[in-house]
Amino acid sequence: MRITNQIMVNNLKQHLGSNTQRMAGIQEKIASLKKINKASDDPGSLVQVMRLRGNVTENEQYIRNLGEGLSFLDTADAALDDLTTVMQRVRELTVQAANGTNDSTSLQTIADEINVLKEHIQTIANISYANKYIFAGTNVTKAPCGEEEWTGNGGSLTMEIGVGITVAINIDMRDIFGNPTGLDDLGNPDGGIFDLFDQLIADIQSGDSDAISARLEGMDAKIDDILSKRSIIGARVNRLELHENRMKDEQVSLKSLLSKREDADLAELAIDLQTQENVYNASLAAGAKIIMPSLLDFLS
Amino acid sequence: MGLETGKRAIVVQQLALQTTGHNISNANTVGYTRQMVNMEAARPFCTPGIPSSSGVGQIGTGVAAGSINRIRDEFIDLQIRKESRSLGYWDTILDGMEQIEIIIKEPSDTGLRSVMDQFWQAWQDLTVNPESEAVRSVVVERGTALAETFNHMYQQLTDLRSDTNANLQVKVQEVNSMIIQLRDLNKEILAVSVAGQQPNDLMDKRDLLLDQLSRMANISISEDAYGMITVQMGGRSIVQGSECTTLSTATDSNGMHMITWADTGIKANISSGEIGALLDLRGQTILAQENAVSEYKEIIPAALEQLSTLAQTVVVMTNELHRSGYSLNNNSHPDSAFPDGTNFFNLPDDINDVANWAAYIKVNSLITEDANNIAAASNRTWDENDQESNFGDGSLALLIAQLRQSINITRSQTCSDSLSALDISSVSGSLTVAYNGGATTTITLAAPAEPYQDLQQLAAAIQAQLDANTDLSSSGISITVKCDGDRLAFTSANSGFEGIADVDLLGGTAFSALSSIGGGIENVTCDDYWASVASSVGVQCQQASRMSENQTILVNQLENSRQSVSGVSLDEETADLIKFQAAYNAAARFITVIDEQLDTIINRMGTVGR
Repeated sequence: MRITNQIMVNNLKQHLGSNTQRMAGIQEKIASLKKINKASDDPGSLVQVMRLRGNVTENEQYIRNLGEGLSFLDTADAALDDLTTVMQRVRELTVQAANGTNDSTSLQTIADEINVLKEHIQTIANISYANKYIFAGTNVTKAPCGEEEWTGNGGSLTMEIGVGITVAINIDMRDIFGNPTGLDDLGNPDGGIFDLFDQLIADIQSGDSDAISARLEGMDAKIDDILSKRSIIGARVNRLELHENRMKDEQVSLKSLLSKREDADLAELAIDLQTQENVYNASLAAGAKIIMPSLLDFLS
Repeated sequence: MGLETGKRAIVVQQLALQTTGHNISNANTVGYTRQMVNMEAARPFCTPGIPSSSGVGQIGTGVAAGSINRIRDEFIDLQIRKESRSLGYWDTILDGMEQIEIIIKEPSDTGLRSVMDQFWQAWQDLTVNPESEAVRSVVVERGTALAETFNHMYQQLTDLRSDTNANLQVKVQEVNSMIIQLRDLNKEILAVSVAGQQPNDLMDKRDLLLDQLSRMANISISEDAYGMITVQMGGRSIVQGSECTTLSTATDSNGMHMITWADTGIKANISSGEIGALLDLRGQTILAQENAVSEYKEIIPAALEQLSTLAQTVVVMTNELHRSGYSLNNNSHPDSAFPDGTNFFNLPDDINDVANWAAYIKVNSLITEDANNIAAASNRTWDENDQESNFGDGSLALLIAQLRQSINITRSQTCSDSLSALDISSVSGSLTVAYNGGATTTITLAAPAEPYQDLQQLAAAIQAQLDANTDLSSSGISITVKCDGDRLAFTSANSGFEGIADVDLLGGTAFSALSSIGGGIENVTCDDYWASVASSVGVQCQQASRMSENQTILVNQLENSRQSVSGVSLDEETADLIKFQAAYNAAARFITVIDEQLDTIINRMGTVGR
């Protein structure tokens, strides 16, 4: 093939151009620390990268939901713990009142204390977490234990903790508390805590020690009920914590998978860049040597 | 005779020297072809007589310059033109694809995918805290951000389309200017060739123009005896002898240009090359002359359409769920037993009215003005005594959040007429369902034994009839009827469901005007749909880049082969310079020899006896 000056210049220009282009590509990857900077870098992996990114965001949300749910349940558990303490204290007072040796003043003192504790139970029933009344069902904006009636409902506060996995974070306490008046819609005793306390106070005030003793049974049953609610909470907390741990593990593996797909391997790129630089320098040097001589240099 | 031979040699060598100089001067001229003096021996002198003076026959009479030729291989020209057409095409496609890729902006933390993620996340947060004003306003903000991202990307793609369109106009003008130059060159070439000379430099200029023109579009070239060329493009001769036909454009109502012939105004069918690529990128116009089925690749319009389909799906799916929910302001609703959820995103009466959902999408102003209008609850939020009773219900928000994972195959249709003003207690009548490409089946509803208490009961009664319909069940189509506020909504996950053709309930007082079933994406989640759009842009961009790279290398190689034949080598020319100079010198010496001979004959001969 006949080689002209133009061919040599063209070739040199073309090859220098593609060398610098390759270097720019490697440099972009090093600067962004990403293998895939635009869709065309690797369309095959792009779909996976986008899905993994979505999964990471999704998991973050689930982990956030789980944290929220756990705090909510912790508040409920603490409230029920408080409630158990109150119930235990009332039980002690009941045993004391059933003694039969109390005079009317001391019975009245006991009745007064139970009354104060009843008010405390109202406070417990109206405990809120993040501006939400935790025992109000889905009617979270209203204190469930009002003046007249229990305004909470049996609705559950559900949240998603995994794709398609929902969990209720509240528990229905209507059967434990009952109406604040202790009476149901028809005016009959509803068997709630307030009902129990009202009847107990009436019995204590009347000084009927047998009747007072008979209340102990109802008292124990209520404490058992509360404990069973606590065990539900405990089980749910366990479930959520288990799930949270799994989500966090999954998050780590998702992130490492994502990193494997889209993060640049710096060591490899550094070597590539070095190689490319060498090639570039070599072609520059060779170009300088090839382009230079001409017959004219040798003619006098 | 000898002097004449010497003179001829001097003149021809001088001509060769001049040509070598010309070659050296144009060593770097684009499109220049090296020239060579075609030297040939002059006609010999022949003496017819038998006893010729020399006795050996014909005598050489020196050299003659036959012609000055371009050293050019037309086969390489043909190849270069073919490949540079392809190069022009892929270069331009690559340009456009790279811009689309930048607009799509994936993978990134600011692209549509992450904005969509944040939107669904906001609904997740709302599920947890539906009563919170702050969380509600985050949902509004995320919704607005999503709508604006769609709007912005749509605008960018539209801008790209108009830029491509403007570029097309410029290319047409460039082609026209080339056509006119080619015609003018044809005339000049003719003038030189009829005088019996070689118009080498004019032909170089012409060939360069042809190279450039072949980058633009698909052309074919033929040359006549006088060196004039005929160029064909799009089925017509654009240059023929001293005549030419130029291009023009017709513009549609969107400002998009269709390429036409300047003389007839008929559409010019130009494909491939830069113009073909611009047409493929931009897509066809809406002028009557363009076919309904596009002959172009419609790259940017396809991207716009995919974006719009995604936007439509998000709008329709979100709205459909949102309308069946209860907001926190439901006490202001006439009857808080019915869901009062409005459309979350604006929705026209007929979804077929909207052509560009990505441009249309916008959060409903009722919601942006008061975030409490977001319907997060799937049960009534205010009880019959007008007391707030269910503010913590986020179950509907959860359903909307779960749209992220849902495979979009739901086709739904909603009656646009409200039933709230009508007495629905004893509805009877019929409704007709269209399915499987035009088939219909009619469902009749008898008056109920007990009056309907509310819309839910009516919906349940219609549902029972639909479920009992054998036409539908044998076609595998199941339709769900839901109350959508105080309207009825028919939904199906089967693509065979084509809508409710006719509703005649309430004994003749039909409520009609059903909104149509729209397109939207099917059988895939929004995320996956977008990922596949992004990756197909990536694939196309990669292909364009690979093709353009390959073509560049190919054209460069061909260019080198052309250079190898036609290019000026300075070494070669310098050597020629020496060669011709030596020949010139020798010819001069020859003349001196003849001169000395003559001197001998004239001055020295016959001097005996002087």
